[in-house]
Amino acid sequence: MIVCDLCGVNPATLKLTQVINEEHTELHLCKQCAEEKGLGIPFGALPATFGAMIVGFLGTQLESTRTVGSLKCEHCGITKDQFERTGLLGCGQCYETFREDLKFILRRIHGSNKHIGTRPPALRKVKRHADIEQLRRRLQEAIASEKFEEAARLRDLITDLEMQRRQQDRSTDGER
Amino acid sequence: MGSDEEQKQAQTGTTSSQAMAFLQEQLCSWLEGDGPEAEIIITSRVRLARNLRGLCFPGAASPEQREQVYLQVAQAVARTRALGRALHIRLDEVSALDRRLLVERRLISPQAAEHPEQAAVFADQTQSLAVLVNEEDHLRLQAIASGLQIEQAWEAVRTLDDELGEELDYDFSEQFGYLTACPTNTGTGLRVSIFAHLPALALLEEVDKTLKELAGSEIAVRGFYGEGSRVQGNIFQISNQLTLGRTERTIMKRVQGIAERLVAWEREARARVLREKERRLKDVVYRAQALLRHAQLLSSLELVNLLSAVRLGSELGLLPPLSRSRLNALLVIALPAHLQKRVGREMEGEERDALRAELARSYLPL
Repeated sequence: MIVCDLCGVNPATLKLTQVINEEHTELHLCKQCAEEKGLGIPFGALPATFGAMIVGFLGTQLESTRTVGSLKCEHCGITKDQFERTGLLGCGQCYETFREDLKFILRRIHGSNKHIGTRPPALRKVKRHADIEQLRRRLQEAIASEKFEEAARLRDLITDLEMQRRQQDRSTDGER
Repeated sequence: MGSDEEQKQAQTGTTSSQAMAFLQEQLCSWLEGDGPEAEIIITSRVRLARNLRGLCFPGAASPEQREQVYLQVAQAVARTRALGRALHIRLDEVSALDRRLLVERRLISPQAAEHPEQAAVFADQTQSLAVLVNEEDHLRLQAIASGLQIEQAWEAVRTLDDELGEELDYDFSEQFGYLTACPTNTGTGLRVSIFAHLPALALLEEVDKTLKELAGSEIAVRGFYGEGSRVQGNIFQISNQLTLGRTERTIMKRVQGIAERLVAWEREARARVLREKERRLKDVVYRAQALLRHAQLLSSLELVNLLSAVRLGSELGLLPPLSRSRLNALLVIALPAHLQKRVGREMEGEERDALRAELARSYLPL
């Protein structure tokens, strides 16, 4: 008998399946937990458990390769073990404390560990130029070495960033 | 608690309980079913995760820190154009049943309902725009729209985010972007999701094939499987899997593209079902009609499945036209907390199932 992942008591009759590319993650639920937590309907919210399950799984892969021992964040007191168990960080400082592990984890989750999206209003205007110039150079390299898929991705990215910059310049010029 | 309540009333003009009373009467606008492609894409949702610099994330924060976050956000929200006069509910001021109602309205998450301390939700009267405070992250901004309207939902959230970002010091790093409690949200903090109703693909048993074709598209597909291998209500949630290393626009375009493909596939499947599987289709639709007419006890899950079938039947002309807003509304008002708030008391399973069956009968002219 499969037991409910949430209460750990009742038999699970429902299965919430998440498919990410080829990877299936399943959460088994009893009818009661599903109803009580508003998960019993396909229209409902999702349990945070999913995020934690994914991160926890990646955390276990770290053991051999990355930092050993119980690293602890000075600011919030979260340890690496706690992070791996819950999948949750305790504060912004954790991103510095566990920086090397996170670079690995983030790359595994997102295929990248570098943010290229929007920035908070206060920080805008700065640095945008540099980012685009760098991407243009990478685009030229990709074309030169006939990596056309990569080139297409970079071209889309540059278009996006330019559009964003135009929008941001407009809004910081006082329109909004 | 008394003086806090008064202070809040002075700020926003409503108390948590007044706001709850309003919500109970007023259903959300995204259930109206009037958006583009709303016969297949039920809703589009865009949400952003944000945190405040220097303060622990809610899960690791002290009650004092959480209170500080709440106060800062409440002040900033009050100055925004979109939510300046928002409904304002402190989750620790309302009952557990009220919180479950908010979960069913998709205004708060199941976790927030269980950990209501210093948590709050701000929502506009149509409940299409909301800020949730002190859940997994300090702020979750969300916009929900009927049908396929990712762009519109994004505009609403982005505008609110810019306004709040002027007031609040967001935790942000040049390397990782917006810092969030869970690394699956780091970067843009953006989750774009749609709920797609795919009954014809399900009837043709082509859902798995369809989803396989989408594999590798950097998206997550979620469905609820009940008894047997059917997805409950034939409703699938599609959302972006990645939040880091992609621009917001790329993420949105990706989900939009998938949604458009699903719409085209489901349309084609509906035409094919009518041509090739008419008897099977009619059997499913008319059985559902009969059950909705006569069943005396209906569980949430059973109702969702029956609604899926009669919705398809109505859209394919096998049944008299059924109002999409009523079909959508039933997906929410027949949920346990909504039923119990309706009668004003806690109810056991069988009593709820009976009321649910009665509600479905009175709501749908079948």
